Amino acid sequence: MAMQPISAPERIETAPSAGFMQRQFLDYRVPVNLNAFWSFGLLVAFSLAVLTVTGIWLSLYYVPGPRQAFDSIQYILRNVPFGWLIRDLHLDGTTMLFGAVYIELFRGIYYGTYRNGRSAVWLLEVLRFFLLLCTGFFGFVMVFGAASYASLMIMAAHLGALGRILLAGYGVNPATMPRIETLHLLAGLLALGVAAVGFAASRAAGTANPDGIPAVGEADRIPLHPYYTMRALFALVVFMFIFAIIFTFQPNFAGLHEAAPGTPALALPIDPLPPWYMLGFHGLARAAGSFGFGTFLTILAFLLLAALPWLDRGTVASCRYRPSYRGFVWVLALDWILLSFGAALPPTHIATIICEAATIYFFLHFIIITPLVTGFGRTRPVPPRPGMRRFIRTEQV
Amino acid sequence: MALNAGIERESGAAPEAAHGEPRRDFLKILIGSTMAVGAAAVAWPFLDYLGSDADARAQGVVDVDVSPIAANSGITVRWRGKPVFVRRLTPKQLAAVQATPMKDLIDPASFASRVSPGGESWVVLVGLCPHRGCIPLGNKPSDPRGPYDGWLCPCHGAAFDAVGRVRRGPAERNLPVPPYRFASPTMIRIG
Amino acid sequence: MRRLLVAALAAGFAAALVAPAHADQKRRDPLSHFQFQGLFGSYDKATLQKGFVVYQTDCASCHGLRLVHYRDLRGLGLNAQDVAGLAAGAKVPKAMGGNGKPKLIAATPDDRILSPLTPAQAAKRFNGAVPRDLSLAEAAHPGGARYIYSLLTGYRPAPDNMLMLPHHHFNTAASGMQTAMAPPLKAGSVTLANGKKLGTREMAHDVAEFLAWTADPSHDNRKSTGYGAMFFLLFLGILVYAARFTTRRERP
Repeated sequence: MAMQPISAPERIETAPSAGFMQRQFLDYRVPVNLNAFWSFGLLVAFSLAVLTVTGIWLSLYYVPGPRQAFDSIQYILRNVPFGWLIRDLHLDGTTMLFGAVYIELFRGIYYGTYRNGRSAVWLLEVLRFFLLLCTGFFGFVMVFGAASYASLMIMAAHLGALGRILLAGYGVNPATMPRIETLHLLAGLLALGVAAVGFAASRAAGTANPDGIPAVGEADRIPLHPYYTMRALFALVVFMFIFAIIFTFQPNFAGLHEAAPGTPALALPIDPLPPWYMLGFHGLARAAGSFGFGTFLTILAFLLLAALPWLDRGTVASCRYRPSYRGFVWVLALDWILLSFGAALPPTHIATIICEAATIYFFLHFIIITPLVTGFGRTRPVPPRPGMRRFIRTEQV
Repeated sequence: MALNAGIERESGAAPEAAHGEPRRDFLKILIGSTMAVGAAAVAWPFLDYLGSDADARAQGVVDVDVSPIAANSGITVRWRGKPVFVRRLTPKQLAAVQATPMKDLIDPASFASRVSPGGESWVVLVGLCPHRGCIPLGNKPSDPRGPYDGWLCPCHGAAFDAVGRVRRGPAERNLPVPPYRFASPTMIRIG
Repeated sequence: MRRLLVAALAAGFAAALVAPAHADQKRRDPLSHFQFQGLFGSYDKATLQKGFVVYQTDCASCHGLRLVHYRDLRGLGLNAQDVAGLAAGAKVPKAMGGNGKPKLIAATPDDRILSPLTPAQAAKRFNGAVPRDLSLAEAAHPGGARYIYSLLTGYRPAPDNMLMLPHHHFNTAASGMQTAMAPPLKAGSVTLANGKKLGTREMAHDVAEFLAWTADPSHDNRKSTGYGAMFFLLFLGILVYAARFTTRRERP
């Protein structure tokens, strides 16, 4: 998203076609007290743009077939000019996207951005997360390395009868990969659509802020440009710098095991690990023990995340002013990392126990802890207007 | 900045008048031009990607070993998806095409413009009739060659002579000669 | 190791970027160290070319490089003529003539480097074992080039108490300590232009680096592009930070 970093010439600013950009990106007024977490919307948008463009480019040479899929990607990497660059940008773009998406979700939970009439925005954010994970999964399968094959089979088993529709039969056959490719595009486009609607909904409801109170007054808000544009641009440059580091040194950070083609695969790789951003859900499935229960827990996890605006019983939205809930939110984040960690371990007794414990805590957080702690937990006085936290503190002293 | 300026006045601040303004303008220009350079550097690989890949480039050039071709016979090879006729002429055929007066030709072209210097007994043609794109007959021993001992289009009856010049309609142009050269006395490189 | 880092996400991020330097091992056996794996490392063209010769001499009779074309060998620093000569020296099956049956004819630079054996022929010759394609062999094992080096230099006489599978060879690096592949490298089978004969350890090192190249031929390009991008972003970042600083000072 190339936002205008410098004030455009008068001629462009007054052109009618520039009106939308002017209203939404330059003159749009945002709360005075936004912190670095509020740059992540732009970072998600940037990642989505990178993935969309590189995805279109890759589709020009990708061949969906049980054998051709793997070979066509190798062909792109080796024999198409700059194919390696575009494939690696797509591959590492997923790491950047999910990094930003996870942080954005954490921001929502921590600062209670789903409050103050923004529950629709939150629902769209969770739906977008779900669609992006679907896109990521189908993209991972499209590589059709040995781990992709294993993951596809495991997913088909989780989905039961739907799995047969996913595979177009009982196993991988010539009809399978075209529908995986179509699903990748479909889920990706839907995610883009939901992201756009979510953006509009967020603008309609007004940008949230770290104090968790509505910013309605004129003095509570300042124009996006120039006060936040340079800051957003700086965040983008830092984000791209991390992108470049991963691209340069760990292009396979997402964990695509693509050293061997997926078929014929009567022998599976030892550890068909999904990419890191799916490890948490992998952990839920591991803790569940059976395919059916694993599917149930995954759906439940998404539903509970979506239900957060109604599970939160507090009068205060932001964890800045509810210290007891704040601790639990941090524990939830660590719990998710632990769950991912347990899912990445070899399948030992210890790994299963880690996954089970982390899964139990995860559901405990949403079902018990959130309603109780937000309802009865300790709170601190909320500033009268956004960005007046310092004023409150001095008053207390 | 017209709208912004209004809002800023409302909120009681006037950043435009603040100190350090020339420096920021310079910075803005520098940032803008740096970003333009970056965008161009990113655009280049994306455009280059859309060009031909290595296999497609490889198909653009075809080497043909002409040593097994006997006089008065030809082969058909595939080049960039099109049929290419390679025929070796007999001295009698060469004399006949060289003796043809230019005024008899529908699309006048000299003998020298139809062959490669040093390999005059070889004829290399793109085997698609200029009329409607059928593949003319005459390259297999069993094919009819038409009245001019060259090629005969089976679709509408256009006839070509031994160096592919059109002698009878409906075609109005000669069979095209692809770019080629002799890589060695027995090897033709088309493309 | 890697799976732990992946799971540790942000915490392990910095550590994951730089492959841990096995300083101990490097001192013990310098050939097990691969310079290209370093932070600024790139492939050494001379090593790659020697590695390719080792591949041709001691590997190519059984293993193919399905994903590599002869033309791709120009990435090793060979010129077009060298590549054409190499291709012409190999026979590949191509459907020619009227009966549609593939015929063995000289390869062109645009052909892939294939194993001369079909899987059925190989299985018959090697008691059921089929030599794997080596294009991605380096990427297939977490140890990468170092693993290939260890495997090729890991052949030892089997200990007396070891239960060996039929037609298997004891190897300290192979999984299960045995492999169906007979020791492939013959000392002195590769002679350099200056008359020096390569020892098996040097051969193992060079061919391991060559196989790293076949698995990831864009490694050098990626590093130079990545460093370029980082320097550019550093410059832009400093500018933007300065601009941000002046904006913040003026905020109402």
